[in-house]
Amino acid sequence: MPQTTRRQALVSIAAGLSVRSLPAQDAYEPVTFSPEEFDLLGIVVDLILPASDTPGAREVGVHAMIDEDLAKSSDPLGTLRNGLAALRAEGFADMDMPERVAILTRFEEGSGENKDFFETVKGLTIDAYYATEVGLVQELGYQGNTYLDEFPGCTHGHELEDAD
Amino acid sequence: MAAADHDVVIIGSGASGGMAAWNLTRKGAKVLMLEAGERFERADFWSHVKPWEERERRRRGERSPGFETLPLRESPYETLAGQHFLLRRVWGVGGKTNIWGRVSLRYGDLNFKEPAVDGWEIPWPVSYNDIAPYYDNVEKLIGVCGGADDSKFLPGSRHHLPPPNLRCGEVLLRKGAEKAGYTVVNGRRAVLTQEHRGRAKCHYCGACGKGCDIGAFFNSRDYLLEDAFATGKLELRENAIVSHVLTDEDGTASGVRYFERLTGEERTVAAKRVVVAASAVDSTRILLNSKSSAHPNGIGNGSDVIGRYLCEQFRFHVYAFAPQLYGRPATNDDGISGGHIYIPRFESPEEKRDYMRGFGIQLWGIGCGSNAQFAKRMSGFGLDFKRDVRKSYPALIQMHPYGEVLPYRHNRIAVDGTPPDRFGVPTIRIEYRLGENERKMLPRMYDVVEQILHSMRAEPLPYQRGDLDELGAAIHEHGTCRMGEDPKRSALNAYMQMHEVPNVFVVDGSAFPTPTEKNPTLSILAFAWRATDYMAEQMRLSNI
Repeated sequence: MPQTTRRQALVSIAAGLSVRSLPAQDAYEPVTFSPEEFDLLGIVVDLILPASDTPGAREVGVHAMIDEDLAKSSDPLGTLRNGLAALRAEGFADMDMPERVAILTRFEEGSGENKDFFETVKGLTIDAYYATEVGLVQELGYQGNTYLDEFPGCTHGHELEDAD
Repeated sequence: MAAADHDVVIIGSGASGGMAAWNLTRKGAKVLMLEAGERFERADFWSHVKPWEERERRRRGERSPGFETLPLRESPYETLAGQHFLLRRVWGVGGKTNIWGRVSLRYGDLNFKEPAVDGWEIPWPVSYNDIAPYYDNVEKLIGVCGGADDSKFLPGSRHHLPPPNLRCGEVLLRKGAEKAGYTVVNGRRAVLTQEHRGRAKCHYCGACGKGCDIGAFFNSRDYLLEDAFATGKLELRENAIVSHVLTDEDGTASGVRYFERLTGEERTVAAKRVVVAASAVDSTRILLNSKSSAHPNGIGNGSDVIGRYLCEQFRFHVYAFAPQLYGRPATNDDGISGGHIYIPRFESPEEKRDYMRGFGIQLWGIGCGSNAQFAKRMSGFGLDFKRDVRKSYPALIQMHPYGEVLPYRHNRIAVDGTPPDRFGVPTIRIEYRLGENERKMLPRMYDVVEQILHSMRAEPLPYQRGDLDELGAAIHEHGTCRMGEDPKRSALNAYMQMHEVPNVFVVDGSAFPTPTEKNPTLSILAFAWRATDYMAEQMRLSNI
């Protein structure tokens, strides 16, 4: 089956599902970040993994998962707080999309604290997003952790042999 | 102390302790097994909890079994500044076999002979021919899948269960590596790819690392202790943290001291013989702490070799994409979890090189996985990034070379000057650093990886040549209570019996004088079986 067909099927199936990784987003009260930090974090995670033919990171609550996790383990919290403060100082919340992308790009290509912030928030976003049903199944097509009688292995081996 | 109630006390219930209990009870010995942790219940395993269900469960206060939490809490370890060592232990019935990687490679004649040839550090007291029948026995008992290959680097077996089919990335990697001149074999793993001795076969859920809900891979509890209990000869005490092997005035072992983990009470048990099988590091802690007037340096340690020569493998990880697989429909690549192929060592001692020994390459994590960790190494963000991650997901391949770290006297486990645990027993300090031989082997390991990647036209994710995983990460500690012919340079004889204390046997990985490049569990099982055959015979002859 061509992948687009299958993905479209998954997308249409998923459209019928609620995004139930977290309680409804408007109901989540951050426990680690301030409301302002939390809103900024939501903007950042959604810049990293935005909505496409599948929902984006903010919609599935990645910023809430990060907030929830950091309440238990505070390891990269300082890095995130400093980065969010730097964004606030730049007036990030009031910028338009190209300006925000430019700032994040500058962080990614830079060094020091801002670079650390970018890599940290990107890593946390990847961990959280691709652990949701939306990220793992709908976006990537994960089919694992099931019961199989036999493991078929590579079913297009012949195509691969011919590929050379 | 009262007359011994038990023919044998076994400390530890993992691969080696389980094998000792299985073999000794079936030969009629009355065995008491002491285990520091508790039984892990299969029903509690999260093997079939989907990744996206875990968060909700944790939020409800549910927890998966904390396989590794107890030892860090009860018996933490120190390292020297600048000498980080990752020590991973499982306290609980079955030990690390509950969650082990299941790689089951025979050591070869080459592995056993090499130290005698290159002179580092002491020779093995055992040859391949001595241990080969036990490899046969173990494979028949536990079930190991694998291919029909046979070489001096990796001896073959007639007992393999059928190997699993290969994932697409493995097909490409094998082809690329073979084109570059390397031999690629089916992985050898203690996973049941067909029903074996009444046990259910694997259902390919890919969650072995969370514990198997049906016991389809070897673990000590299901495969060894169950049979041992059936003899009526095995008593198991859980939550028994052993601190010392006790001795008579003449230095003969008379029993064991332990602390009840839940109540803190100190207890002693008398035994005619003691089998130490607490995994290399904890066995060494117990032996070094077992000081007496007869054994001022720790039991059986007149040679001052116990605690020294700590060694395992060093390793690194390279991630890449097979472009032929970009954008293909995702497939279920779980298989038996971990690699279905392996690149055995290929360098002979005779080859002109500037280092000794060698390395093999493990190949797990290939294909569609249950996360997208690889994406952290891809640059960028946004829509293009998200599209690239999706495109790359089915194309992921990984290479994990494992190199032999030589045994060095200065690499050691020590109990002097360390803080005591809550029972007042000294904990351990690990002193460990790589040497010149490893520094010389490492560039060659990277060369081979790059050669194979190039041959298969793979696109690597960014890496730094020379980067290493944390030392200790292979979880294959050896050397700290080594066997050998010479009592001045070894603590145990070829049957893992203490030179100085004949009624003490140390049957875990600490007895191996060098780690080889291979994963040790199959060999630990074979050696423990052989040692307890000998021990039972010595008991029958009333020699011990």
